[in-house]
Amino acid sequence: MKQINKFFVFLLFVGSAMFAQKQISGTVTDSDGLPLPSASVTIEGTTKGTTTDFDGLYNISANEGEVLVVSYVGFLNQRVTVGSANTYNVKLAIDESELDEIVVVGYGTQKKRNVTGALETVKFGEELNQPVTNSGQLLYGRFSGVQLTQSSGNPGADGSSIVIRGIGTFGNTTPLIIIDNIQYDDLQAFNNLAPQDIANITVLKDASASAIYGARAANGVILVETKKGKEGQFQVNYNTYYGSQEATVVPDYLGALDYANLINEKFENQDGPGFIPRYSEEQIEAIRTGSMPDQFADTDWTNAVLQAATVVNHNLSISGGSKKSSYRFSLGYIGQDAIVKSKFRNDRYNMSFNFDSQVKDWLRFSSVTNSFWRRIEGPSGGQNAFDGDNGIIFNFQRTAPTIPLFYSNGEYGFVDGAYLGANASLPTQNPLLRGNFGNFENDIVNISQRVGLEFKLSDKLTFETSGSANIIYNNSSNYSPRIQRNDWEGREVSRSDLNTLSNGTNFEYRLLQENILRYNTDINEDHSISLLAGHSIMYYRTDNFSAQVSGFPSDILEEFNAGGIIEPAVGGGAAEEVLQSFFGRVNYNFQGKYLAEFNIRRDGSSKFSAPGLDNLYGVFPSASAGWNISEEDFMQKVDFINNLKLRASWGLSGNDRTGNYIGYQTYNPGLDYLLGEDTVVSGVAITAIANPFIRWEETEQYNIGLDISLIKNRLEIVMDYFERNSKDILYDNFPIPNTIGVTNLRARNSASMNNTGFEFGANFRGGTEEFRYSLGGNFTKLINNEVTGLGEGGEETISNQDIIRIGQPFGAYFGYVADGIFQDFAEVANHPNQFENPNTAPGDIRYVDVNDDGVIDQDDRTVIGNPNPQWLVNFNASAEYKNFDISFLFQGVFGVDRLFMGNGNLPMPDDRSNVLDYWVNRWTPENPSATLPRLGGQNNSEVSSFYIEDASYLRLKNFEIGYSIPKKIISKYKFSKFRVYAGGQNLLTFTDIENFDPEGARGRFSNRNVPLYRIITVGINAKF
Amino acid sequence: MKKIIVAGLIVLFTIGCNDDYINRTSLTQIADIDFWQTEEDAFLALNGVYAALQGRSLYSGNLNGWQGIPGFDNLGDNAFNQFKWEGPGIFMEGTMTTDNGPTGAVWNDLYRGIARANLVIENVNELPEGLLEESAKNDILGQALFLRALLYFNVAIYYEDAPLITQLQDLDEAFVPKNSFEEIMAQIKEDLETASNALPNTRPANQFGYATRGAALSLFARVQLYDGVYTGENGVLNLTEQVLGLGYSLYPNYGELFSEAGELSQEIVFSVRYLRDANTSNGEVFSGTFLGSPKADQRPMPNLVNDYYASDGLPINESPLYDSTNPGENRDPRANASIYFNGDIYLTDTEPPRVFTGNSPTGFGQRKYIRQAADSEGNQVFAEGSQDFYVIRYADVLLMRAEALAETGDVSSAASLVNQVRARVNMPSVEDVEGSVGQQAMVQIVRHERRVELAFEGLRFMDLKRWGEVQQAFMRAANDPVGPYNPNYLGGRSEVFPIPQSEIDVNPQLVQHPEW
Repeated sequence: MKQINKFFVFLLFVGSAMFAQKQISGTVTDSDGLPLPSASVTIEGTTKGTTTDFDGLYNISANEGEVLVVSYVGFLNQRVTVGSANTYNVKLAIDESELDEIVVVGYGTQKKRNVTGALETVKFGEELNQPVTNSGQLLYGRFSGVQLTQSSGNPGADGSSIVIRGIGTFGNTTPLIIIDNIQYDDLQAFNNLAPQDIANITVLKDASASAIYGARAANGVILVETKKGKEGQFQVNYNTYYGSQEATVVPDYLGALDYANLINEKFENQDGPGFIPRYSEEQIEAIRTGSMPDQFADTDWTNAVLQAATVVNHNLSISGGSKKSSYRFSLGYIGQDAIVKSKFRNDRYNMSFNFDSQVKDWLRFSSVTNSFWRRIEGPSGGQNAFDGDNGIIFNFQRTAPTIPLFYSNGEYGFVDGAYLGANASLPTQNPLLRGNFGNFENDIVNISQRVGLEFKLSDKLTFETSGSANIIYNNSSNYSPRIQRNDWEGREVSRSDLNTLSNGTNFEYRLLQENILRYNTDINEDHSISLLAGHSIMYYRTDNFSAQVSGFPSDILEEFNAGGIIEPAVGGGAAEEVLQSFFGRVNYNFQGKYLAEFNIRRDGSSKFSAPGLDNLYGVFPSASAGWNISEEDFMQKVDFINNLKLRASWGLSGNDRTGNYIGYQTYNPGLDYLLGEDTVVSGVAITAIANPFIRWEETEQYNIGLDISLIKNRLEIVMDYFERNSKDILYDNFPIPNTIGVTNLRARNSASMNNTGFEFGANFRGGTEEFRYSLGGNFTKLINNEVTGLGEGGEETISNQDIIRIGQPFGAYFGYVADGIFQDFAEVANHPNQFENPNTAPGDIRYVDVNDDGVIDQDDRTVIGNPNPQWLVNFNASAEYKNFDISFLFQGVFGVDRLFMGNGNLPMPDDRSNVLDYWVNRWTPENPSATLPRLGGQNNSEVSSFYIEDASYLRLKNFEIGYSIPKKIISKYKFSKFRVYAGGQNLLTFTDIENFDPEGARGRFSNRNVPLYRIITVGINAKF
Repeated sequence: MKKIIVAGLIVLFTIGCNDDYINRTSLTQIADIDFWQTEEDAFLALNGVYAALQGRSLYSGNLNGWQGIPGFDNLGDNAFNQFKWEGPGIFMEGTMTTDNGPTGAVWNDLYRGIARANLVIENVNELPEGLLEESAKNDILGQALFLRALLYFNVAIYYEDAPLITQLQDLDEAFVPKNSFEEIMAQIKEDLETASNALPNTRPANQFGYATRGAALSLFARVQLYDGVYTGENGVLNLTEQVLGLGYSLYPNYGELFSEAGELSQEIVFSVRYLRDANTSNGEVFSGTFLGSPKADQRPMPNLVNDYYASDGLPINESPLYDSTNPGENRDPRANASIYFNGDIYLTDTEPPRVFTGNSPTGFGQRKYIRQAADSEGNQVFAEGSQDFYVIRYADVLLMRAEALAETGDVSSAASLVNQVRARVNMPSVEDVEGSVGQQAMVQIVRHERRVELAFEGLRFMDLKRWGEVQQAFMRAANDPVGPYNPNYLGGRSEVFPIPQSEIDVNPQLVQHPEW
């Protein structure tokens, strides 16, 4: 032991002698002399380093001549060369560039500290690895007040709906999307933007932030900027990943034996003693023993049809610039297979080009191109083959497990051995065949181009004029071949002798011309004023054409000229829109303390054309004010608060997302009739009633917000309280008596809504040069989402499972209140009569007599659930240690109800449904369940609270762990960065919902869509 | 230079586009303000009314979906709606609720047609002087009135008390209360009287399908029969007498009548026309069938099958020709034309032809109207087809007249009309089988004849209602040995459809029937 100690002393001695090291210490403080704990002190060019203690003190051994690098998040780095002294106190200056962070606002940028509206920006680094197949999904987990809902997991249909600060219209709630100053009505361009090309995303939430987009901003605005080249850096970036997708949840249905027994029981319950069983005892025995596998199989359709599927992504970009010009060019590719076994897949190619040049001192030229080509290939029917009421997923329920996937003769199974019985079993579509039958192709080419010229008219005045075009070409083709379906003995079950080809194209373009004057001036250094005035004209047109013909001589060729002759049909249409806008903004600030902003926009839209009336134009003003309290003298002594700003805003914004030409009464020409032998004559009819009083929807919004920065700007807190009152909402589901002869009423501006909520967000960054981390989180409490009015004479609308009712959330679930299960006839007799149904019996659901009138009928329906969430919760964390990095992002929704009635949830109400496997515990006389009704009973499939479930969830939305290969290794190969990573999307979900993903669209049948998927990826980020 | 730019900018700012540039109208739909300008417009709107008759819940029917009028023999004792959810099945079992989809769709389809008819009637009357020749105007008006009456008569049968709307409504006028059955019937009669005076006796062959005077008179007779008005200027006797003089005749082959071959025959007084082919997709579904079993949604009931006489004209329990082990043998040919018995071939274009195995809860399959092979346009038996649905045919007119004669005591004249109908299928005459009968017996003979002649043509429920026999029909259906079928007579609730709950929800003026 002694010897060992000696050895160490020797080593120490030798070491210090060799490197002439000495102990150095000191204090790290901010400019006010306050100590900075956990500041990083490293020796340049080595891996040696330390951090300051709580009092800002550090100790490190260094050689004379070496350079200490002192850094602290939010402050500028400082370098100190070690000289003869042993003590080096370091004062760090605040990094003003961070405080003066520039954020994107409508038609321009602003210093973050001067912003008075409610907006939120997320910037994306050089690589973005999240395996999102739709860029809109980048919003998950990052923004407060933004609700995203994905309703299908099929490629091309897996985009999420976006709702900002609650539903404020009965119509389309999609926010206005603006990518590089081009406006889009829908999410397609955003979803198909390559994630790696996105520089930042800004959500404009309150009316002050969004009112400059006036008529189209009531749903909020999402501003997206793509990456640009930087001066002096020539860079090649290559990012790629490979991923595997799998359903997040797979529903479990009954196996064949349970199914056969239970469906027989259903017929017995339904039809009484004289019932005809679907499966005879011999057949059930065959199912049990598996003795007749062709006629009575045991197929697990879900697992036979769902699979793991790949997703591959590549992105290559080249960027650079000089003092006067910069450029960035990128190419991207993503290929995605479907998790439903089928020929379905989605491929997308992206190309973007950003170019900027200061042509003259007074003239700047810019050009942005974003384009993609998306191609979907799949079976006949396209998306319809998968999602919804006729799709493969619904066939998990509709297909009996007794039908084999294939017969032993190799043909697809369609019927089981009971299909010729007196109570015949019904044929399936065979989901596996459906996914591979026929051909569907859809190509979308989308080119967005903007060219801008900015004239510097004086130091204070600039003029910008720009022209942009978004051109979309959409071409689709659908081919259904002839088919004959046979049973296990080759006997024909059904056939279609007609093969059919349908092709359609759509050409769509939106032209936008904008002129903007900007004027900035300071008066006496105290007053800062900026003015903006603009004018824009937008013209939109869509033209489509479709054709169909049947009866091709062969199924090999799939083009019109290949000989189809039967039932040729053509269709086509066109629509156009014009929007003219005048807009202006005034910003004023006094000494950076008092901020004020006014916006106004006047919009004229062709959507509000009507004979004789003038509702074309709407005016949308807004005002906001801010008080930078931390700039006040009395706050200078409060050290722990670095920034404190109070904001308040008010404004009006509009919504014109309604159908075209609502103001004119029109005749639908799509009717015809037959006379004589074969004379087809045209007919017309009014199929919808016009509304000549059509005008804008309007949303008035108040917002109060507080921005706080603490602990040397490491902790930032943002709080906002908002109230949105929407009025003149177009009520296109306005209840009308069908006796008027149409069931479709053109929308009227009649309804109103209120959304109130509170948003809270906090971010903390910390760590040292070596170990950096950040933690962030936000939550949104949607305090109120309420329909406040339906207008003069407006009646509430009950549509199947939901209701629009004053005082209730929009589209609240509406139905009966289930109150257990009848256990005996006495209980049935003592309970109010249900639906005057004499067959109500033990095992049926007992409903509450809500109106207490002694019978259960339509009038006992009440609000039974809220499809809108009460809480949106997000949190994220990231950390870097040396060459390792890790990040994750959680996202959750709480206090939201879903109605599950679409896929195996009902107790076999019709003649073919399979059910989820929990139905083995159904009510029977032997198993008097208190929770599940009997099969084939009475009135058990009514919309009721029995089918409502709390669909709250918390989900690990994104996870990534990476390793950057050290520079000294990769520099040999000319790389400046080479990082490998593994990650995933939707890896973990915490929820009470079983069998289906908790996230999904509203309605009864949303679980008929393709399940959502989780993705596990591995990838590379390389930079040259 | 700068000044020029600034000046240019100011100019740019001050020229916006004017309102004419912003105002846009539909590029695909004809605006109201441009319509009703020509005679063609009037016919376009009229054709729109005819197109409304093709609704699934009116005359197009269904194979595996909500039932319309071709499926309404499932109401009562003629047929069993095996897919009960299609409407009639649950109506019969008494488990229907007021928010029932199928009956709601019938309501919507009826009023859709009515509104379209009102549109024509109102606008034709307001067309500028001289735009339309008086004869053309009368023709269009007459057809629209006929069609409105046809639709309202269905309203009267299935809903009894319901809104009577005879004008175009603005939305604020649309919240109307019910009118009484009597008010609706009065309007139907008024419309039919006008129509029968306005419509031509005949039309050129290429306009077959447009309503004629014969159609209006025959429908008028049906309405009056429903009300029991046999005599007088607008009684069944007088109305049918006029139809007898219009040149209609019975098609010689009863079985073939209910195929495309019979569509343009002299027997058809009014039909809803269908063609599914290269030029149009106006297809129907009522004549479709599954491959595994003939028309599985609608099955002939044993009590109907047993009601067809043997070929000697005697009931099966009296005839020596009847063989219960081979019930299809030696029967009224209309039985074999209307019903598939065990062992009959029901698909002729399969290899081999498919034989009916009796795989039906009732043991029988429907044959009348049902396709046996792909049609001449290539439509498969289970796909949409081109079969016209006969709303009124001449045999019905003869039997309506026979019924009115029997009811008013003219037994021998009634018998001779029944004989005409029987003779077409070589069934013996009343005199030969029943002999000399009294008035009550004659009434029963006519009623029986109607049942076997007109089965599956959507008339049975109307007949049962006007005869007051709905309850007995329920009993007959309940007593048939059909396993999973429990007809349950609930009084008025089994005789009238509920007003759709959605209509009650929407229109506070509208009150549900007391039976519901």
